[in-house]
Amino acid sequence: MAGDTKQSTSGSSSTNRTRRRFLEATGAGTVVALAGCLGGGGDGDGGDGGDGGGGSGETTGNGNATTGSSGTKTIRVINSAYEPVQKVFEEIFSEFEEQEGNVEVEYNRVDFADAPQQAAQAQAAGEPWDVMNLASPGNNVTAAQEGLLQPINDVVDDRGVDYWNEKAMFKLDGDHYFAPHYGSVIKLNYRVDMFEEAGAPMPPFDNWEQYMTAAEKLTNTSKNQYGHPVFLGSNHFHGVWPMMLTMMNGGGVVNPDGDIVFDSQETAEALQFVKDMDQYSPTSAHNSSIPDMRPPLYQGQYAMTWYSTNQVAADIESYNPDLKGDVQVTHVPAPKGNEPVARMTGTGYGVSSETEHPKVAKRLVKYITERENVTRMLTANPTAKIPMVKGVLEEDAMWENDTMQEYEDLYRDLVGIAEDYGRIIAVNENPETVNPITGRALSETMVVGAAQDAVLEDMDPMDAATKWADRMREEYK
Amino acid sequence: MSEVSEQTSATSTGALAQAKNKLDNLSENQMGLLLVLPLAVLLMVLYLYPILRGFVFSLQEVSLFATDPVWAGAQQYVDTLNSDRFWGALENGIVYTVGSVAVTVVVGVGTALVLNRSFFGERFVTGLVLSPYMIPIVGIVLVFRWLFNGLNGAANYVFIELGLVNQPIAWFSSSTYAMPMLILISGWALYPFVCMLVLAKLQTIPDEYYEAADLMGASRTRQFVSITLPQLKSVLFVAILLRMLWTFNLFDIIWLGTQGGPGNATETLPIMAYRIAFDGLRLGEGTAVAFLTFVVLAAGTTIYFRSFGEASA
Repeated sequence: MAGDTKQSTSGSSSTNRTRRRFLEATGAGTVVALAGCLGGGGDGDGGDGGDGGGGSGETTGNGNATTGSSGTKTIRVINSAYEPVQKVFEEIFSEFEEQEGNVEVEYNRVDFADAPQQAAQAQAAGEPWDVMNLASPGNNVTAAQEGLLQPINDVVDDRGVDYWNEKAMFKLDGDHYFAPHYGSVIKLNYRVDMFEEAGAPMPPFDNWEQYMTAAEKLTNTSKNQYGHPVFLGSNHFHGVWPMMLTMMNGGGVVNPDGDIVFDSQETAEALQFVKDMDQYSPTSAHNSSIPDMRPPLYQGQYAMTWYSTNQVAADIESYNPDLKGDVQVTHVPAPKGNEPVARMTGTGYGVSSETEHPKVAKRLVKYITERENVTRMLTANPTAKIPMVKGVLEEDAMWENDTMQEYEDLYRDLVGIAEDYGRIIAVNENPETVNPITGRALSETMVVGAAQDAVLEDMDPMDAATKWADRMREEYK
Repeated sequence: MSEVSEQTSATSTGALAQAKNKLDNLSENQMGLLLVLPLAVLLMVLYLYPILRGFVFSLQEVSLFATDPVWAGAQQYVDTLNSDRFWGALENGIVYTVGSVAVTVVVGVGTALVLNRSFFGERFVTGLVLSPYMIPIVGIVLVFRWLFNGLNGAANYVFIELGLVNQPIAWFSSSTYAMPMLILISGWALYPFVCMLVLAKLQTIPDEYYEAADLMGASRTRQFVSITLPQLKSVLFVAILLRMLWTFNLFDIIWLGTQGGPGNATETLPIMAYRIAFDGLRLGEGTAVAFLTFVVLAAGTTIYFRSFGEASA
């Protein structure tokens, strides 16, 4: 028995030792593997540097993989260009690389909603986007205010003041932060054939009464036809129309001193106008998605609709090729005697305050905004956007495209709307200074909130204006 | 040189031996803890850190642009709880969850009962029943939006032709119809989950139970109430719990369907959190709403367990 016990104990001890050795070996292996993983992460970062340097580079400084050992500099670019223009950007960057010889451009496209976070996180992580266009004037202005960008007065001044569309230019504490290239403008698209058939007053309208009379004459619910949709979705974009109406009526979100002035009689009147126009809108428009704002125009359910990027040519092709010549553009009218406002975008490209290659980044910004390259971008998606540098319409290349030729009148009208009434609200509301509140999409979200209350909740327009003005004061305190 | 080399070798051998001795002297528990440590660290980094970081965010005013957050503390939660919007979103979330779960359970159980019988084309029908679960949600919502388009959707056309309505209904833009539409889409898209769970359980119920009931003259309804339902209790408990948690947190169907509108008529807590964080660029406040959603779900789950946990065992 004793022998048995001893053997058993010995056996158990031997098993424990074997298991312990196995566990020790496994544990050591795990630790090494884990260390390897972590080390691999570090190597990986360096590897990015290698990519930046054509595969043989090394990281420099704090690990920012922007300069290879061969001297290749990586410039990281972020924008929100859509499909056809993305390809032009890729071509432009590739030409820039060839021109520079030792530069590689890393290009990323982001959505509107992701742009701020991506830019801020990259900057905070020490790997900034060297050249940025953060999808909207609001995002761009806020980025400049938050210190993500550096002044580029030299880029702007080198070209001369006359080169740029002055409406797209702004200074923050006396400095320029952006070089614009192109933008878009809010306009009314309307169906000439439906106006003629209904005997409605033809645009451009001189005042709101004409606007509403046309909407009324064009509404025929038995034919499922409506004069003018009232979009009340919660996206900030849906707030553009009531925002413009408010501004055209002499109201606004904020005054030059930075005080919230949304709760004004002018705002209430604009909201009342929205409410009145709702008689000529289908209920389905209230919660329309942004892409759904256009098709009913071509399908005969809307006689007018407002939008930003001009997709008339592409939409006619997609929805109703018979409509060529029957869809035109005009500005959203102002009340009698007042100046119309056409909300624009187009603040353009800025350079990161943390870039390691500011000179190269600025050269790239200059290259992107060369007249010839802006023309290429505009003709990639014909008639969609308007130039923010001067002289583009005089470029022969601008009119070589079939679509541009076919829609030349419409396009010139569109550019005319921008020239005559265009305002980049974040930039132009208070000349020479950027307004921190109207510069943010959030203000449009709140304006549409007031319109929702007035229309959907049947709230008194003044009460709705007061409610949302209080909310703005709370948000922006 | 060789002496130095020998000395170095001896020193490292000694250090290794010391380390080995230390490891040998560890108890089983200590050794276990040591081995678990790397995994625990990895989990902390990948799982706990983001949650804790998120919680810290929820106590700060963080702009998506700003790199320097401002401490707001519990006030952020107090402000959120004091807002009508939060309670409206909570109410919408409850209505949406209860409605969707009810539809998925009723349709899921009903379909499972049908599929539990043998019939011609049984496999084909089973595949067909499962198909909503295989179609991407975005496709399902787009089809529903197209069918129920307020201006020119097929549904309005059919209803008008049948004389059920006089004019087109704005299914996704009317505060009366938007929520039922979302419930309908969720029910259709997600009932196969309940159906499959219930079908699996149905196939384990012995036939003898029903034969005995037949002999005693029990009707079909009586058999369903007295045999089938009690047998399904445990599986329904789990199915309802999971569907409840998932539905309350569901984002894609609502976002693609109505984006929380019209107004805030279909805004639930996850939609509210997203809108505040990404439309409003207020990451901290959005995260606070997300954490409150977690609290609501934890409370709901506890109540559910207390109410039905034992009965389903």
